[in-house]
Amino acid sequence: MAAITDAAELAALVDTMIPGDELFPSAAAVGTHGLVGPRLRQLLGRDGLARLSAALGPLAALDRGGRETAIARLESADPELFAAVRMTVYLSYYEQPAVVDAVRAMGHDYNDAPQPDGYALPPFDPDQDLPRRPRGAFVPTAEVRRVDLAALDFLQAGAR
Amino acid sequence: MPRHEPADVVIVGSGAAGAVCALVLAEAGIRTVCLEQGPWWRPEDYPHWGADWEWRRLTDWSTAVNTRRKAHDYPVDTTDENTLMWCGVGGSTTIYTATWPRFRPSDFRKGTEHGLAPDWPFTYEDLAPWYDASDALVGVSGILGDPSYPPRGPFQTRPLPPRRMGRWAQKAFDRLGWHWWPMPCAMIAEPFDGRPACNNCGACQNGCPRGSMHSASFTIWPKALAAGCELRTDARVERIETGADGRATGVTYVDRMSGVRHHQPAEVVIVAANGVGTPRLLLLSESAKHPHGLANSSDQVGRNLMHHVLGIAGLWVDGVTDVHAGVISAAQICCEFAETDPARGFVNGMTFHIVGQNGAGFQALGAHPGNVAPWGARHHAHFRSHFNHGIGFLLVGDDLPQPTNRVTLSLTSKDSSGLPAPHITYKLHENDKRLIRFAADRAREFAAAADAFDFKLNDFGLSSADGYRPPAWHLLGTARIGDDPANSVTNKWHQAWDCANLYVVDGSSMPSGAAVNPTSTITAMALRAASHLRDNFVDLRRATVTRRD
Ligand SMILES: Cc1cc2nc3c(=O)[nH]c(=O)nc-3n(C[C@H](O)[C@H](O)[C@H](O)COP(=O)(O)OP(=O)(O)OC[C@H]3O[C@@H](n4cnc5c(N)ncnc54)[C@H](O)[C@@H]3O)c2cc1C
Repeated sequence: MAAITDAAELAALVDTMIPGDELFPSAAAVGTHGLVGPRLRQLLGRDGLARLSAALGPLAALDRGGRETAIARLESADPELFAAVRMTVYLSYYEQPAVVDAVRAMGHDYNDAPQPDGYALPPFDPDQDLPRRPRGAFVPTAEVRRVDLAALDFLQAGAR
Repeated sequence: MPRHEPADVVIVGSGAAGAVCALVLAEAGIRTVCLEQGPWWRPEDYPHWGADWEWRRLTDWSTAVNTRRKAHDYPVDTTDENTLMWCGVGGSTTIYTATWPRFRPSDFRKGTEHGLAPDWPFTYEDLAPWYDASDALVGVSGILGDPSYPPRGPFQTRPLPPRRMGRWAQKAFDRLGWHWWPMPCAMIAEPFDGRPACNNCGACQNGCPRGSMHSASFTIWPKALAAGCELRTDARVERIETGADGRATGVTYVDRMSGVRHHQPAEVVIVAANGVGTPRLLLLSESAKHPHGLANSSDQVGRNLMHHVLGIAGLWVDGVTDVHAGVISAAQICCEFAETDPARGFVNGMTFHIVGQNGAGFQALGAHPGNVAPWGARHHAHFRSHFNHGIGFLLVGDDLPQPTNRVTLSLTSKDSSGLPAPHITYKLHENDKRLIRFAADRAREFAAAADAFDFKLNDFGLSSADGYRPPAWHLLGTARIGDDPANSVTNKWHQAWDCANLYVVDGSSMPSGAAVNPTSTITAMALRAASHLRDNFVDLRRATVTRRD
């Protein structure tokens, strides 16, 4: 029986969850399943993977509609297991270099990793970034007074 | 069991508070040893350098102890929350996000104001110079002039830029007529004290490997070590030892690398193991003289646990927000509802923080509120409209200290050294629930004022059948300071009522939690307490009685 540790099964899973479009590559086209396999094992352990294989059934042999049905079944039957799969697939996909390039192609300044480059740090601009008419107040220490709790019945027992 | 040379002071825990105590005492020539159960984390250990940084943030670098499950951590036995903390040199400042607002004057007077929490044994004005001194030590970015706070001492650098996210938020705040001001952050926007300015990388939820953020391992420990403090890592303290007279004689710890137990004698013991680790250790240190745990004759050790009552919203707007870049909370704080107004139907206040949303993977997962991009054919359309168009809106409310919210010792769970894990019970008070529901309504108003096309609130289960089960990253109140030995654990100088050479200096010392992040206050308190101990060390090292003054 096909197990979710098989490359073809994993590829079918990730490609059904994240297919390609005119800009974004499909998850399997950029090798996402190569990361997803070991990560699911790390997260779920052997037993969890076996549970996942059983819950999904063989995917690779199905057409897109059949795969979608299998994944949707998992999503409603075992939301926690599905959430772990989704987290693994999404995070593994968005770290792929070709996907980072697609994000950049949308016009966003976006790095493969936070360091070492970071992003530009423009100086704070007080003309734009402070309130024109500052609002706000505080109660000074000497002016802190007992508030009237009469309307807050639910508190009466607790006040001391 | 190896016995070490007696120290003047032994400190348990090297985090926000322990590091400050170590620096102050070592600089005064007081022989100080700090024991830390975790290791050093080197800059290259951080996830920031690799494409897998988002995966690591939620797995091996997770801030949740029960997700990480490392030998240097301890598990937390609870179904009420997801406890977040970090164990190692620098403690939780290794991975926090350095949001650095101060408490307000009224936060120290809740006993006077409504009586559901005690007054602190000192006032805002008493702590103000220590706030200024601790800011000068760690480096804080910000700008003076916020009318919702008393005048204060200087910031060390200009504020961090708010990004387009912050500019969008400003307009919404202005439309609503609500207070806003640039959020103070212990993250420097210009070089300071030999440390480089932040480079806006946006991954502060993994900590900061550059040292731009105040993480005690970068900012304080190098100075404390240079001043002569001895720091032993992977040294897990099992118990604080006491003599026949009830005074502390030192600590027993296990070297986690060898498994060998050691005794470290000391004239004074400071516990700085955080709001969960500290009560746990005090409870583990029971003896004939202290049968209910050390410093626990009042039965207050472990009680009054506070975390802040929380929610996190996201709104998505028709504009680019730079929400993946920049310091997570370096935009605005809104204190419009920070003071008590009983007309709202509850006591205490709340603040709102404009926050970032991390990288593309986490944003596809819906960021903190979980507005997840659907899988399948609609995935990319959702990503296109939401990525870098979000604004995070964090709701932080002042939860009441309740004796039933508490840390005890687990009967079933143990750490890697075989010590009982802490067990946590944490339930919201009706007042907390009312407060966070009010806050959630304000978040919706804010989203409307921001012309958001999408909005999602994560109330951590409050409105679900399962109930509220928050991530808990502010660990407060479980060994509080006070004026009265009957309802506090230490006096106002953090000296235990029951054990005059034992000090508790960390998040557990707080009698109430205010409606903002606590670490600027924990650091100021630590500086104040350690300076008092230093200045009076000749007497206090021999003290047999804890005085009220
Ligand atoms: C994810 C996250 C984000 C946060 N963001 C912010 C923020 O933006 N602003 C803010 O103000 N606060 C924030 N905080 C909270 C902040 O980190 C804490 O308030 C602060 O670190 C608490 O300081 P502390 O000294 O009480 O304890 P910690 O810094 O937690 O240090 C305690 C240390 O004691 C050690 N220890 C415990 N038990 C033992 C033992 N038996 N033997 C030896 N060592 C022991 C631990 O390993 C740990 O290193 C955040 C926390 C987390 C987890």
